[in-house]
Amino acid sequence: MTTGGRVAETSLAGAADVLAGQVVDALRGRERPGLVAHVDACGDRTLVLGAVRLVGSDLFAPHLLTGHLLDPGDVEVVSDSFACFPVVRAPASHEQHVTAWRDWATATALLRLADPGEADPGPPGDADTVLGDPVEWQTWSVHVAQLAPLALPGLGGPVVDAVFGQPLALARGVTRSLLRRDHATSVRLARWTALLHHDRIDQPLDPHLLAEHLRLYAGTSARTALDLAITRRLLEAA
Amino acid sequence: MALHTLAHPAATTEERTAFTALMAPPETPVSDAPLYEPHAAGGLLLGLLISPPVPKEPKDR
Repeated sequence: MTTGGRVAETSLAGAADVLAGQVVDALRGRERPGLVAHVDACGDRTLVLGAVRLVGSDLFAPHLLTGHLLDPGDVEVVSDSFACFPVVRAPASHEQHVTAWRDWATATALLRLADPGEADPGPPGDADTVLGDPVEWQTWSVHVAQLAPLALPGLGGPVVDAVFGQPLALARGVTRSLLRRDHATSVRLARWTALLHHDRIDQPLDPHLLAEHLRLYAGTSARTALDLAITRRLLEAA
Repeated sequence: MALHTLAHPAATTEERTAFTALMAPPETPVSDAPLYEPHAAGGLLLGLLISPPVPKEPKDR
């Protein structure tokens, strides 16, 4: 990757962290500026729109988990972010498949909040293509972690169904990431264990103990705090 | 001639590449995971063999 590419990646990751911190504040009931005000306050519009796409469906976690009302301006901001970073129509690489699924989650969550009567957009492919074979649970669980923004209540879809059908592979993936001390992956997978618990699906791991362990060890970045806040909310709502 | 301007900013190629990479974060490449060490037993045995003997209690006391 070029120096410019590294700078772009670091800047985008930082902008996404700032936005993730605001979603955490919303989940905790703290005062925060709306999405429109946040985008308007940011000097680099491309950067902040990229952050909007990166946080994606998690922007609507406060709406789906704590009953926040959708601001009509949010629809426009998300629409702008899709225009700024164009959607991949025919995903070829694994990263493009993950991007397509995460975009689908954002669009579905937004559509359900903005217009509940409207039909969901069609999924961008089948779950096996993006997740792989659950027999190869090491790779499969990493792909599941990359799709953590799909672990929101009521979102559903083929990927959620596929993960719900593989609680053992998920538990193995969590254990592996914990042994590797890859806390970023552990936190993403913890969201899935919480969603399984929320939907009363038996699993070999205790998601409460996992969430508590990660609260103590996984660090304090805004992205981690957001994943853990969603995990907690899912466990409390079960 | 009408001048057409884009209403929205468009991400550069570098920004798009960075964005796609961040959308699918890989596993942490380096970790402190405990790894299998096939030669650890030999090292342990060698350590036992070259370690100093247990000190003896002096007899003239």
